[in-house]
Amino acid sequence: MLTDDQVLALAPDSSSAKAGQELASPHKWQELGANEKLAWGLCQGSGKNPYQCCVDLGQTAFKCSCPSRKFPCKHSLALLLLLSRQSAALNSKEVPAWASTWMASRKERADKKALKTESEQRSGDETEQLNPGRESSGAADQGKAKKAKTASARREKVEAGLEELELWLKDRIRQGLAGLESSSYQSWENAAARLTDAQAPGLARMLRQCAGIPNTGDGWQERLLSKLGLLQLILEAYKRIETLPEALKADLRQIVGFNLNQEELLQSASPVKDTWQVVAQRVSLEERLKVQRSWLRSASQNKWALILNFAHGMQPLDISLSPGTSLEAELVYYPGTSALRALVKSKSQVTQPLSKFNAFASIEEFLDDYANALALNPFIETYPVLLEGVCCRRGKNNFVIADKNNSYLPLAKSRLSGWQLMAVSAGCQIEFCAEWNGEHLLPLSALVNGKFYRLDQKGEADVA
Amino acid sequence: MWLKKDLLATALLGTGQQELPPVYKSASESLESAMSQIQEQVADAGKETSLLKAVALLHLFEKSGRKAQVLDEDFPFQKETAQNLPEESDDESVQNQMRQLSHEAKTQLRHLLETNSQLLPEWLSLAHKKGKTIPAELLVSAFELAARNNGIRKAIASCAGERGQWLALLNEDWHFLLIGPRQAEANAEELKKLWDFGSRQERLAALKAAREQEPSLALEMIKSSWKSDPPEERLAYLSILNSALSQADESFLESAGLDDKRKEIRRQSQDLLANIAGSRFCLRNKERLANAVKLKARETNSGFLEKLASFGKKKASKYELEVNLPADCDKQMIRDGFSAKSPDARMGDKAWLLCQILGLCRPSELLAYFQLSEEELLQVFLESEWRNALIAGLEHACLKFEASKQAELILLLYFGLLDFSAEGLHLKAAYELFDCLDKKEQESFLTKYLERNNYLLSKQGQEYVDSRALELLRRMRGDWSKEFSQVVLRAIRTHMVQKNNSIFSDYYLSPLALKMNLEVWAAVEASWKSSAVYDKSLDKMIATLNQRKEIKEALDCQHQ
Repeated sequence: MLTDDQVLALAPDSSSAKAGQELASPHKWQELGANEKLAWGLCQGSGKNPYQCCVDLGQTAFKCSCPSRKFPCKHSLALLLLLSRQSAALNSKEVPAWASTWMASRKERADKKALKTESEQRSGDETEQLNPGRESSGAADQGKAKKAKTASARREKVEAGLEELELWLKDRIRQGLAGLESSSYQSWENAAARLTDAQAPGLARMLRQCAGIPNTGDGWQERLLSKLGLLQLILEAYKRIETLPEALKADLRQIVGFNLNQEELLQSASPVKDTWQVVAQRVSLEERLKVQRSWLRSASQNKWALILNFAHGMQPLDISLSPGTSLEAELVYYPGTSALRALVKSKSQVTQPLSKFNAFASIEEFLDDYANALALNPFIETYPVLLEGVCCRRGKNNFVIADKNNSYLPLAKSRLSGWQLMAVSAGCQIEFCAEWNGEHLLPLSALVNGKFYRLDQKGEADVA
Repeated sequence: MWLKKDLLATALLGTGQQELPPVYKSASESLESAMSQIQEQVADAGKETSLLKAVALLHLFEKSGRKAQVLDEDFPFQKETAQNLPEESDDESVQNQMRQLSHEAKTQLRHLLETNSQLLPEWLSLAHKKGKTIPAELLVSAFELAARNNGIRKAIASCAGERGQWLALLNEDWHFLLIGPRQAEANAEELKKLWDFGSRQERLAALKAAREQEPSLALEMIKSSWKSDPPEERLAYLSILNSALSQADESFLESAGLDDKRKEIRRQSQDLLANIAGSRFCLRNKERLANAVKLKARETNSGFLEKLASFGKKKASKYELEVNLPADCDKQMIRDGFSAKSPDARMGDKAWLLCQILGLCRPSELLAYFQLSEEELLQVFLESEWRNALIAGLEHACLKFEASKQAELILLLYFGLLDFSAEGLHLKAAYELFDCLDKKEQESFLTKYLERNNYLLSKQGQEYVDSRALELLRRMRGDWSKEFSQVVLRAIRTHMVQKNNSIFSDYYLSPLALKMNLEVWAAVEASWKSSAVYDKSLDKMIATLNQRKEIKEALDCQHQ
């Protein structure tokens, strides 16, 4: 069963969360019921008939007859909150027809999808069995040829897009970066849009990030130039991608924006089974896309895993990984040098609260690890860091994290993140998790006397 | 380092205007050799590409070779540690368990802070009463809210706990949270120091503390900088002087206050002087009253026709008033705040003068002067040809001296709960008079009114909600008694059942939910749930009541 916090994390915005909480009272509902798979209820709105709302508890899917465009709507959130707070109030056991119809249609869709995947696999296997050691024939042949043609067309498109980007970068440097602070965002946006058209969305995202740098305060010029340098490095590397080692090639393709089929990856790659600590989670907004970055750390090895989740517009983000907990899971890594990005193949339902990070004992150790990672993959933008026995210290204009050897690294110049750390740590030694961009630490979470705190960018820490 | 600067300078000006650095020279041999390769390719790749490649290389070189800096004695970063903070320690003692919040209470506080909810003050006040403090993870967002919202500062400061005070001490932007407790503990010398050198808020807090500890010290502090301080500050000092007001303050107010250039300051000084019993200001006005208004026995005609005409009517008072007003305001009257010209078109200048004279007399002194009871005095006033000016003057006096008994009498008159007619009276400050009553008086007045006036329906045509009653409910102080909350709920329900269609609005109903006694929740849950009438505002009101109930339960709950 989901906790209150997990339910509220599903809310598309704060007003939905607020409205959901207000509705989470049994007297607002005409009928409430639940079983192991489903929760349902009838909620009186401003219309004549009550809204029919139900939630698939197994896959956390929602259905409501209200006209709201938000997803999940306040009724669905309220129903889940009621289930978490007052499950006894959901006392009806007889599933109404409208709810069972919805569940049946969901099951039908899932079965169809499974059947399709299975038949695709079977046809592949059969072709292989019929023509062992020989080139595939007929439909399979055609399929492969089509796939190869599509891939080649995309490669050409990407190459053309990258050529155009190089030209655009040259123009930008020829004209000079001074004055960008007051110039229009549009030329960056146009160039980024062209990269999206050229099917290089990763580079388009980087270019959009560049566009925002002139408004980030002192030192923007240097920050922008280094980012443009990185773009040039990627362009140079892509020109000779065929000569690069396979792992680096895979890194580069990911950066440019070639997606891997997750189903195929889950099937083909060998999983890493371990106890994984969910040490941090950060959500950022890119255009209308919510990007959730969950950092997992192996409890026994020096291994990291980054699980990315995306939700568009009002869609909810995945809440299956709860920061501040550890769980048994099988992860599958994306191919690449630094073994960071991964997918969850399977995981236990039982989680344990985190009381200790598998952290580096000193900043020096972490910097060595970072240098090694950079040597393998020079395109890394942010890298995770876990440190133990560090404390937060305050300077005139900024905060630093200092270890037992008195070595220190600066925190990013956010107005409040340092104060959050001071508030939860009271200046004492803590275990600390952050993202390192080569210059600053972006605080993500902390363990203080065994108590886990999430540190977000709004000036608020969250205890799990 | 200079290579980086040179590259940056070229990038800023543009390669169209600025040449690349002649040599990519670096302190590191390996970097320099890589750089020279880039430089050799300038002709093929172009200046711009060469520059960006050099930047990328340099940046990677710096990032991968970065060493952590080391703190030393001269280093500016301070080590600030708050030791043994009780609210976050692992202490299992009962006292510590009591201080910590339950998970639900923390979740509620987070939500209230995020939305700057109107329930936040109640949460903070309940938490303060129970000795609970804001948890460490929410201190920053609470302090940031307090920085934006002056009204919530005191409540947040009261729940900040030792950790919060320690944190606020570190950040100058949050020092306002320490104002009050710090000054309350200061001695006279420290207060004087704060008065001389503190910020505006610190000075005012010091003055307040001094007024509480030693009223004469506060007066001395005000006198010391009165002439040099700006008028807004002087006005703030006078409002602090209002507490512990005594005859010792009179000469300062007479000389500095009444002769100040600013009208607001003169007005405030006049109000303060009027509140000092036996002051020269009060004596002057007493004399004016004695000269202007006299009570005398009414001449009655006892003929048959007169008796017939008054049959069935309320018996007239035995007394009547003789009014004899000065022709104009003299200099002393103007100094005491009188104005010759009436600001109200419905009241003449003479009537205005009478209204001002009465308005400066404490209602209890008026009763003593006329030697009449409240009801008798009201009747005499109402029967006079100066009735409008006399009642308006009494109204002003009630407001100025917060005379709740007389204020209630005028309200009863205004709301038609007395046998006297209020017809033709220009009562303006009915709601302000209601504010003069204390909570119990307000409850008793409104209970009478609601029960007499068919609950919340207006008398005219029974079609509309009685907005006067709703406005009074809206203005009432919080923390209603259970009985009164039941009266209000009954009134709303009666209205809904009779009309089957509510026209309440959030403006009126949502403040009610913040004030009702939570003991009525059980009744609301039992009877309102089955209500067939859907009303959005009412629904919100019930939701707010429910939230308040949950807040109380969560704060009652022990930390687990």
